[in-house]
This record gives sequence, C-alpha cells and structure tokens, in this order.
Amino acid sequence: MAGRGDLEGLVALARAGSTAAWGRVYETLAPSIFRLCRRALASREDAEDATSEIFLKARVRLASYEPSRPFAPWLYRVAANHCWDEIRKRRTRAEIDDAEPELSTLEAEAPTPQEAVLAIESRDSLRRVLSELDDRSRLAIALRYYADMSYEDIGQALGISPNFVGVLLLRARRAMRTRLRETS
Amino acid sequence: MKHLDELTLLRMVDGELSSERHSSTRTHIVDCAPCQAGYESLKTETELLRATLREEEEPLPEDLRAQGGLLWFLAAALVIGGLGVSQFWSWFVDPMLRGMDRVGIDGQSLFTTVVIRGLLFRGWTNMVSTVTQLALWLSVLVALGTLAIFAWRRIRTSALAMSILAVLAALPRGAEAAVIELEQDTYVLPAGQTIENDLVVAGEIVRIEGTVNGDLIVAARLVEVSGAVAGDILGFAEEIDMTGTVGGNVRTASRSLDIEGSVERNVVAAGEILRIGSGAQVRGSFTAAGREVILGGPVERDLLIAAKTHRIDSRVGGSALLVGDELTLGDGAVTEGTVQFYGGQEPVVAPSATLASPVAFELLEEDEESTRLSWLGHFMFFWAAAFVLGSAFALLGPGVAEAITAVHMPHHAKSLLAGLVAVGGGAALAFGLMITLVGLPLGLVVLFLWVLGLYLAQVYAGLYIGREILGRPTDRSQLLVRLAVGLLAIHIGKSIPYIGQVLTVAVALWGFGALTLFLLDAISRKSPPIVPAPLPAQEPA
Repeated sequence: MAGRGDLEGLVALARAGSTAAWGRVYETLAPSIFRLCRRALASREDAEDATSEIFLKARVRLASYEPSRPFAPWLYRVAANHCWDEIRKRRTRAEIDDAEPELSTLEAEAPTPQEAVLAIESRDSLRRVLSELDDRSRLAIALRYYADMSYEDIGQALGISPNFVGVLLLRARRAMRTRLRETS
Repeated sequence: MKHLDELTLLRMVDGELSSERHSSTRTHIVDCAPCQAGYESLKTETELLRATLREEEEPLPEDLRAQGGLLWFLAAALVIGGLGVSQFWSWFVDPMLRGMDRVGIDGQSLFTTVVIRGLLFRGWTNMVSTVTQLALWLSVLVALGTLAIFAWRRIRTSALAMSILAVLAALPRGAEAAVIELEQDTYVLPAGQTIENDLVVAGEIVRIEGTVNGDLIVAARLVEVSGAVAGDILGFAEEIDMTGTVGGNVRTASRSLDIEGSVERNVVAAGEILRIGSGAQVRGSFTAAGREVILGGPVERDLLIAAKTHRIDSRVGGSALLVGDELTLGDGAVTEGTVQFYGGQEPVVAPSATLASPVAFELLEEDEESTRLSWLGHFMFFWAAAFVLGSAFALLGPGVAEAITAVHMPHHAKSLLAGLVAVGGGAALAFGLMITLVGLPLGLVVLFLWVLGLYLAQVYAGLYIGREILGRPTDRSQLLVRLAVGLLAIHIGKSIPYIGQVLTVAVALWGFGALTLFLLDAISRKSPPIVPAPLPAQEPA
C-alpha cells in the first residue's frame, strides 16, 4: 500500500491526466472503499456497483479536490454522498427515515454503564445486528467508525446537522444493544 | 451532582466536543465514578465497533481489481486505426492532393476541395446509412455538450482568449470596425457613396452601387454588386449578380452566381448555376462546385471545378482539373495549360477551340467510388461512428450506462423480450401517430426516438460486452476502452455473413429492451406509489 505522500503524488499525476496514476490510486484505495460500501449498503452487488461508480465520480470531480489536503478523506466524502444517494434511490421516500431524530429523549437520560457495553459473544453477532440497522444508521456507523469521518462531514453527506449525527449514532448503538440482548 | 448524558459522553469518545466542553467534561469524569464507567464502556464499545468494521472478512472481488490489458488494446486500436487512415489517405486524400498539385492549388483550398469532392461523391448515399448520418450529427452535438460540461474548467481563460483571437484573425480583417447594416429589408449603397471600411450587411435585397473600400460580407436573398469593392466579397444568397469590380477574392455560396464584372484575385463558389459571363474578367483562379458551371469570360489562372455539366467558352490561363458528368469546350475556348477531365462522358470539343494540349479524359465509373471504399473502410466508419456516439452517451451518463449494463442487460431473456415488445410497440406507435395527421409531429418525434434507441442499443450492448471481456471499468478512460472493445466485437460479429444479420437484430432487441427496462425503472422511481404519511415514529423507551 502506498504511503500518504505517495498517494497524494499519484493523485496529482492523475489530476494532470495520467490514467496509470489513477489506476494506482484505485488499487490503493478500492479495497477500503469497497469495504465501506459493503458495510453501508444492503447487498454485495450494490457495494460492487457503488465502488466503481464512486471512482468514476471521483475522477470526474478530481478538479474540485484541494491538493494540499489528504486525499483519502476527500474520497470517503465522495463515497458517503454516493452511498446516501444510492440508499435514497433504492427506497421510496416513505421507506427512509430522513427526518432529524428527536434529541430530547436521548439527552434527558442518565448514563447506564452496564447497558452501555454491548453484550458481545462474537464479532459475527455484532456484524449481524449492524446489518439489521436501518439504512441511514448503518451508513452513519460505517462512516464514523470505519471511515473515521467527522460528525460535520457525515452530517453534510446525510443532509443533517452534526449534532444530529451524534444522536443518530447513539440511537443506532442503543438499537444494536437491544437486539444483542434480545438474541442472547 | 448532575450526571452527564450519554450523548455528551459519546461525543467525548468520538472527539467531537469543543475544547472548552471537552475539558469540563474530562474534569467531571475524573470526579464522577458512574460517568467515568459510562465513558469507559462507550470507549470499549467504540473500539469493538471499529475492530469489527475494519475486519477484512471479504477481499476485493475479482472484477473490481484494476484491469490491465489497456496496452494491447491500444496497440491493436492503433494498428487498425492506422490501417484505416492509410486506406483513407491512399483512396481519397492522396489522389486529391496530387490533383490539386497539378492545378497549382496550395493547401489553403484543401477544405474547399474536400467539400467539393464530398458533394460529388456519389458513393456517400450507399455508404452512410441515414441513421448513421443522423447519429453522427447528433454525436457531434452531444460531444460538444460533453466537452462543455467536463472540460470547461480546463479551458483556461488564456486559451479561450487565444481561440477568440484566432477566430477574429480568421475573419476578414477589420471586421470589428466594420459598418454593420442588419436592420433593413432592402439595403442600397447608392452610386457615388463610399464606405471607407468593411461592410457587413444582411437583408432581403442588397444593392451595392457605390464603393466599399474594405471587404463586403453579405447575406441576402438577392445581391447585386454594380459598384466597386476594394477587398473581398463573402456572400451568402439565393442569387448573386456581380457586374462591378472587386479588388480581392469573391467567395460565395448561392443558388446562382453570375459574374459580369472584374475580379482581381480568385473566385471560389458553391451553388447550383455558376456563371462567369463574357463581360467578366477573373485574374486569379476559379474554384467551384455546382450543378452547372459556365465559363464565358477569361480566367487568368487555374480551374478546379466539380459540376454535373461544364461549359468553357473562354480563355483559361492556367490548367484545369474538372470533375463531373459532361464537359463542353466551345468555339471560344482557349486553354494555355493542361485540361484534365474526370467525367461520365467523353468531352465535347468544338473544332475551333484552341487547346494547348488535348483534354486528358478519364471515365468515372458510376460505382467506382463505393467499390474503392472496401470492407475495411465501411467497418472502420461504422465502428468509429458508434464509438463517438457511444462515448458521448456513456460520458454524459455514466450512471445510466452503469445501470443499463450492470442491472438490465445481464437479464438477457428479459431484455430481449422487452426489446421485442418495445421495438414493435414503438414502431406501431410512431406510424399510428403519423397516419392520423394530427399526431404527425408527435409521430415523427417518436420515430426519431425509436431510431435513436435502436442505434443506442448497440452502444450499450457494446459496453456490456466490453465489461464482460475486460471487467468493470474504474474510470472514464476504462469505460471508453470497454466501449471500443465491445463495439469492435459486435461489428466483427455483424460482418459475418448470415449470422451477422441475426446478430444485428438480436443486439438491437437486447439493447433496446434493456434501455426500455431502464427507462421504465427510472419513471417508476420518480413517481413512487402514493402511500399514507407515516405516523411519527415512537422513540423506544
């Protein structure tokens, strides 16, 4: 895998029109992007399609990338936008919950440490409950804990405020905890 | 002490608190055991999530791996392209250049000559089907659009400025300071009046009786120049009558051109009937493309004329290269150079015509042109046309191309069936609309879309086949490579006798079907079924 400096160098070459350089960028980052899509989208086929489309889009938008900043986070943002578009495209509006979650119910609660720990037996079960989350929550979790995106960036991709990203994440975690407790 | 809520703790773990809030929270956690426990457990949970999400339980699928093979393809494309270009050159460009060389025309007139040859080129109608012509024009438009969308940012301001300068330089000099008359129906520059500048004029009737001391650029139904133009005349009209004097060149496109005056330099004309009358005097050369060209007045230099019938009844100072059907050299004809005639009939030479040498005549076979353009030429042309149009569509909508090729085309039988229904239905709809006269325009639109769809069918089929051969494209250039390879495969298949025809139909139905399925899918997505507004979701307690 290319180091950070290498990657940005390759991207600069790709911006200048080098197909070979873009090929290297692809080789370096495609596995990570594919895994992000695999976490965020429902099926393997969707993830495969999304991966190639993200790279197509990224190449088109390469001109808008600011070269002084690291490339991978920029690509993740492109990926986040694309995944969210895909999710919205595949469902009718009634099926997606894209309202801002209610803040009050969450903030009023005191911490319950013993519940806060996910009762994990195996990573398999954690993956299962992850896949059972609603599309938006699953995407938010993947963007935060796989792609390390900030609340700000996630919020921009999903069209909600950074505060609500926190709420969304917390609600998703609680849903996962409940599911895990139920099944164990 | 009031405990911290879980959201604050989560933001703390995720590093999403402001620095101020972060330090106050940290202070609280140190002092408060329950909150500290909550923080720690959230942190553990986060680590667990991270580790699970980052586990590599699935490698990158084979068809997403970066694909090689670009080089051999480019090499092959270069070889095939080179063959095509060399054929084109040896059949078309080279003889023409040699011909032009013989009549002493330099490269400046190359474009004119190409156009003239093109107009006369009887093979065209056989070679280029109407659909491909349509597709070519459309693709030029779409390609320009694509360029505007994708490459606009790359066109630097300086490049733009240079281009504009180049265009301005190509325009007749001083156009920016010209006298411009576009408002009148009839424009007359009366005798005795002088315009010290270029004149740009448009109208129904334009009469120049006075003097223009620059160029005359004119577009009108009828143009009459009986005065003097010091520069060039550039005219577009139905009828142009020139009885005055021109100091420069005359370049016109008009149904008829009649010159009875004097032209100091060259005449280049395209039209139906082009006549240089007995009162005319052309000091330069005469280049023309038309149905009927009549030379009654002297031309001091060379002739390059493509016309159905030629009649020469005056002095020609240079040599003549004439292409067409009939040539008559009348009693008044005096030629000082060679006369070469490529025509359908033997030239008729009047007994008293004075020729420096006999007319070199070469019989043009009716079908010679189309047989010259052999199989490879056809092949290259159709392949290139499909590729140009295909790239425009693929680049304009990579998502559409992706959806059609990845979602709908793999269902071969379903697409074929949909194609059968849609192709039949589309044609029926178009003709149904057209026979009811009221629906004629709509019918034509449907017919156009139907034809376009049939043509696009092979583009998407090509893209699909290219993907099957080379794998999923990861960027635009790879997309184009797949398109080219797929189209090549289809065109090779199509050229096989018998099987090719079946294949052509199958590809058309399959692609058309996938396109239809995609459109139906897009329409149904845009207008989701009407569902009652969902009740506000209950937050789990």
